[in-house]
Amino acid sequence: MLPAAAIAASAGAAALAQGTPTGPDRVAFPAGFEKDFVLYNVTDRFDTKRARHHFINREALAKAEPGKPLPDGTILVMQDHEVELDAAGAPVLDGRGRMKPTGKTGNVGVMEKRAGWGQAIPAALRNGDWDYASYLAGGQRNPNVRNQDSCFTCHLSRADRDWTFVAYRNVIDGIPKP
Amino acid sequence: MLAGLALLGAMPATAAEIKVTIRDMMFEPAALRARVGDTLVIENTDDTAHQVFVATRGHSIDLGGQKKGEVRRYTVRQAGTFDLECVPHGHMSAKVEVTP
Repeated sequence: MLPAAAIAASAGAAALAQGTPTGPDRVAFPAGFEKDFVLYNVTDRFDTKRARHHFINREALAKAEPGKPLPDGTILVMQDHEVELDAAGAPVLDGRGRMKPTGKTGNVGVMEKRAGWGQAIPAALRNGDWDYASYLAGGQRNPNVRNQDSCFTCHLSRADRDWTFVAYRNVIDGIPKP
Repeated sequence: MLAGLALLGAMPATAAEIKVTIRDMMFEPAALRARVGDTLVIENTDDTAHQVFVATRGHSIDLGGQKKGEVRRYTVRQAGTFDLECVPHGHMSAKVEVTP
């Protein structure tokens, strides 16, 4: 893992050195996504004690086909939610065993796919034509994320399903069309 | 007496612990059955760190990074079928079928 991460970090630095717009310079915060996008899954994260809500833009979902790469123009959003905790600090679960979000939201991760975007990313790091950005809950750039290398590196493990952990799989599972 | 027997029959079976071992970059077993209330006890025996998660809609979870020797426990509370996966290792998968 470490050598691969080191290679990826080096490659990412190379991309920045070329001055090509990447990350939040072209992956915008999708204002209004909670209303305009489709919530298609929720991941209960027992490690961070957060519920991660997954959204996809309606236009992409309408075109998405099971087993095929997500369409050009797809925007995927991951929004972290704080959850109810018991006195011992463990997440409170509902009758289905799911965490109970409090309504307070945290960081927002965005991945967006546009034809040709991958050309700006070094081959060792490239995730097809996807690019990434991290924002705070209010839509400001996340100052704790210097570049998107960790996104590219982690998603490399799902190259066989369009570099997504959840969306490609869930289109196969069946997400109701908008 | 008959009422008592009927009540006994309606009671859920005792919840079980089901062992899942991560060995040589695979889940063992690769397919398993559980009942609602059972607990999956997942141990990583590899030198490599793993991170168990489920992407299946309605069952999606992430149990976080897991170093060698560490154990994660997850109690299944709804029926259905889902796949255990590993975040950094896309080829790892185990199918879990949960019945009421």
